[in-house]
Amino acid sequence: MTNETELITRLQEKPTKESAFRDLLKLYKERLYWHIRKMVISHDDADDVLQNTFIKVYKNIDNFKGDSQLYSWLYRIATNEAITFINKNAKRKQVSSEEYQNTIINQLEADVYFEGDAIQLKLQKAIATLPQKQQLVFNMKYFDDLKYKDMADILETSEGALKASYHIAVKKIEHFLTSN
Amino acid sequence: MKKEDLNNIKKPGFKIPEGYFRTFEEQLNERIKLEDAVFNTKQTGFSVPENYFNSVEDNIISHLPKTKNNVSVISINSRRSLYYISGIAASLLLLFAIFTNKEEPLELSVDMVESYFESQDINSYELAELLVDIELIDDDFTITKNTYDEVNLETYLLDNADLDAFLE
Repeated sequence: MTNETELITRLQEKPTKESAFRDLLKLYKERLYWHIRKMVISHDDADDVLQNTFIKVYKNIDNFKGDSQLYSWLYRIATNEAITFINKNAKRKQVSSEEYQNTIINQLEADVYFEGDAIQLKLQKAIATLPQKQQLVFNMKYFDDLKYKDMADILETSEGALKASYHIAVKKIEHFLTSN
Repeated sequence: MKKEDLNNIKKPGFKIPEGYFRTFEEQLNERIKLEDAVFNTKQTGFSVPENYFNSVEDNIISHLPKTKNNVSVISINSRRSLYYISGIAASLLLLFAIFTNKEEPLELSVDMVESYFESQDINSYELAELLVDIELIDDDFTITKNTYDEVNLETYLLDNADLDAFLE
């Protein structure tokens, strides 16, 4: 029995569920946090989404059938939670999700939890100009260095589409950097 | 176009901006430097509050739904739930107020009436005038009907020798 299968079994059995969940938290909290943070930008929002993600995982772990790897399933939940969060906030402010993200990125410079230099700030601004899907692909490939195969599993799309998407994202970012 | 003419064309006819090659190298180097800086950083620049990752676990655990009794948990933060709960509470309060707040008619004691007359300095003429004007009927005059019987009245008259002055 692999570690992951064992963890899933413990998560799905009542007597071991809580201790297994703590192990799951230890294993994935940081990876998922950074994945979410790159999408929602602010720490407070990332914290909210991370908590929602793990609560959803806890509630739905019994429905996990093992069709995909556990980390893909976790990443998928985190991604969906972050997208829902962005869209909900944009709707509340009566702007498009692109406009909402632009507003957020323009506040980044004043954020106490952003310690990046001018180049990193510029890169974040460039990423914010991309459509949501390309942002995701770029962040997962560029910063997290995930394999296309794993990304395809998480985002439920083909490797070819992801490669094309990443290529376009890089071109757009290069263009943004040179023209700004 | 004749073959001889084609061989004679040695220049394509394109022109370049003045000083292009002089500045090209400089611009290219700048761009390479920028792209190198950006694409080699691999750092987002985001940071987290101190000890965040130590505290976040307990935070999440404290928000987990309780599964022991298989009770479905509705998030207390849900605004909609809060509105529903507040609405129900307000309705219950309203119903409670309507059905329990039946005002009982105030029972006046003899002492109260007496002290009222004394404090208001009402003389017998004014009292008599008031009784004529209002045309009180027995049913409305609940004080006498409910609290006085003949024995009470007699006792009262005996105990209050100054009543004569009142009846003058």
